Amino acid sequence: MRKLLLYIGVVLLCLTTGCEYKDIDRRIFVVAIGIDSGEAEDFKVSLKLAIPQGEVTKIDEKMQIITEESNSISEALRLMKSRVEKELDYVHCKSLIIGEGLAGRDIRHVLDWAVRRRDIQLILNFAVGRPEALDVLKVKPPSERIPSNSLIMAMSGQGTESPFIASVYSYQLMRDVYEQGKDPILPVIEAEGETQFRIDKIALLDKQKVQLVLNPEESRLFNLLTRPDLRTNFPARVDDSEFQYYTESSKSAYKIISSEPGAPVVRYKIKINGIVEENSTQELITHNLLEQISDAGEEALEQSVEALLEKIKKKRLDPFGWGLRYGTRHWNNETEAEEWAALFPVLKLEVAADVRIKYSGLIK
Amino acid sequence: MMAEQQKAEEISLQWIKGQLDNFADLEDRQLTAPAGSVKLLYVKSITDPQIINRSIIAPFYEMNDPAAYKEYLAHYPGSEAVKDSKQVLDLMLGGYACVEVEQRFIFFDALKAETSSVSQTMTESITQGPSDALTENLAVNLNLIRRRYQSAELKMESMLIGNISRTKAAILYDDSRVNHQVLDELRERLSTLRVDILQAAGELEKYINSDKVRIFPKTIVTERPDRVVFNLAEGKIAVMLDTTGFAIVLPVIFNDFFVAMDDKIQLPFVGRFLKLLRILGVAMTLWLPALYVAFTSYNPEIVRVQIALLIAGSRATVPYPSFVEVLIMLVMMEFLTEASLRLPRAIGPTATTVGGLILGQAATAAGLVGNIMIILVSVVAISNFMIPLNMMSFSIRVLKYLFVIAAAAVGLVGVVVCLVGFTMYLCSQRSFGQPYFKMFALDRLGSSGTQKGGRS
Repeated sequence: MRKLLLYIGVVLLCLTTGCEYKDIDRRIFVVAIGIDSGEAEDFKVSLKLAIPQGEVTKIDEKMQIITEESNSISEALRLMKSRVEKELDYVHCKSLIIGEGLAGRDIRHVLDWAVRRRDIQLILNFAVGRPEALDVLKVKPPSERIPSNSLIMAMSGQGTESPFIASVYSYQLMRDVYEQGKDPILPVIEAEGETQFRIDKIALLDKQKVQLVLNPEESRLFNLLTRPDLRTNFPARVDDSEFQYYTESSKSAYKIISSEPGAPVVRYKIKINGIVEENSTQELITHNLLEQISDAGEEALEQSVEALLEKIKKKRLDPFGWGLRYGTRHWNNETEAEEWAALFPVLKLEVAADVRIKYSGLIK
Repeated sequence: MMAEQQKAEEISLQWIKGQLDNFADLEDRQLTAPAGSVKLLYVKSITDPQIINRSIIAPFYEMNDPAAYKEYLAHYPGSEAVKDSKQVLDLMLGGYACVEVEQRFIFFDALKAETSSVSQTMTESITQGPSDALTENLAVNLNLIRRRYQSAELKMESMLIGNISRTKAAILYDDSRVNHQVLDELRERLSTLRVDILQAAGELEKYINSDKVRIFPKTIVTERPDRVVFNLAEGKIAVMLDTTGFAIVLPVIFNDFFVAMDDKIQLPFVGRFLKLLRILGVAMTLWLPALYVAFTSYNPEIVRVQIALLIAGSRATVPYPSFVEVLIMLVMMEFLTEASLRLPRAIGPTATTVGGLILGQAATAAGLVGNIMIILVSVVAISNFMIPLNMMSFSIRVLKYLFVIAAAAVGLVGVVVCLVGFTMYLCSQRSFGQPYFKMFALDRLGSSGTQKGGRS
């Protein structure tokens, strides 16, 4: 009898579940969070919720956006809980958009919240939304099959390999904000109507707020300096003909030279292997011409990169982490930061580009 | 009466016929040729008609000389002179034909040859390689093994097991390679065995293992003679029983259950790949249902957002929690497998149709289970049968429920804890004193003289 009771007990026990048990269909996934500065309160938090589809064959993307204003983000989320029937689940949240207005004031509060919350992953993509985060969330491209998927794909680099997009994860942003000698950056997403967005600008921040927004051309150069093997094209002008070359491989490195007499120098070296992609004239491309194109490309690149570096330096920003590099090479914990602060204004910037265009891209 | 029977001369055909009264299959013939005639008497059902024809009837007409014919029969290997009447009956029932020629009785051996033929393997089929299976006849089985293992080191001990069934058992081993400790242990266990009826190899397997609660089989039960030979060469012991078409091989390690006999035949890369596939199959059938429960109910962050939404969508209409859904579908699948095993061959396809089409399609259409669940259950069902040996595949089949329950209780942590637990359990197991979970790779590193069956 006791044995029988024990068996029944075990069987019944097997039918119970643990405490964290919540079926996937009782959860609603938040795929993107948008945070703006509110009108009445401090924050206006918007959540983009993905509504799952039963029929896979009948694709009709369904999403829901809910917005709540509050003085704290957590409070806003708690308030939103009572507006949906399922449990809000943030584990699949891949992007956090900060409205331009808020990003111009302070991002640290939002960042702190995102890193601190344990169910939001640290590989969350941060971005600045223009004109407002809510507008970016509302964008619904027709090519999208899963809510906010296009945003995830574009920002993480899994989909498009656009040379204008810089992706920033929350752990990187956190590091950059609290690291001495490196300033954070954020990509800027612009909503263009209801169905399109454009990500081709990079916002440079000091430790707290947006200071400078690079235009697309500068954003590409910025990516060239920070990423290896950027897939893009650059112009080269020989006499009257305009050429565009595709970068098959690119590499950039820099050195900070402060021991030599004279002003300290940041010397950039950029190495590009390219293929001619576009030719405005019908001219036959010879080996000789290839070399001319390479030289012209080098010169154009050097000028534009130098201009970009000057522009960034003038704002006293350090998104490349020069200060950090200086600190690692001049190991003196007490004084290195001050030394660098003194050096920064007198820094000279030099760029040496090495462009090799190897193929005409055509056999004639 | 007794004195009469002692004398061979007094045995008459009439007397024999009288003894074999009411034998419907008794044949009594008189052969007559110009030179004379002989009488022929035999029991039809145990004699070979070909021998009768070729060796008894045809020579008589060809020779046409009763005296020479008598000589021929008397000197033919296998023909017997008769000593007493008791022997006459034994010979007649043992398949001898009685020929009366020139007043003399000659008993000619015409026993029907052993006809229990060797059939194809049923449970362990492979694509290439021998397909003969062990039979129910111990002598034939020994023939199958001896032919493949022509070594004087192959020893055989025989004994009788079972008070009523008196089943003949044979212990085979290679004397130079066997672990004598294991052999002694086996001998002891067999000799202390007290059972009435022993009919199957699996039964014996159950009796000779010491521990009561076992999840994994500790001996291989196989029907392939080549597997027996392969294992004998590795120093293992085979126990064969009369009246059952299976042999027991021991001691075994866990890895032995995932060796198919094809592996030796295939190219090395292909063989490795197939083995990898098999291990992957085990992993799938063991963990997929548990992982489904863990991912849908505890940790949806592990799968991609696309899949998470897909699962959520397919589960939108399912009224039960995920693990009930899994259990319902798994049990349904087990019903199908079990039913199609027992069904007569003619109605077999019905089970497939009813199960595959109606259950699968209708269950999703009705919203009882999700689409993903159907895929999952089919993968689990199929990959379960990738394990070459039946005993292990059944063990794994049962084990997956433990994982599901663990997943339902604490999610992914439960699955991991269960896995660690089973690894520890496997490590603690012994098969006849030998470590059960011994790693094959380490084994090969350690021993200098590799005695793999295929290479030595």
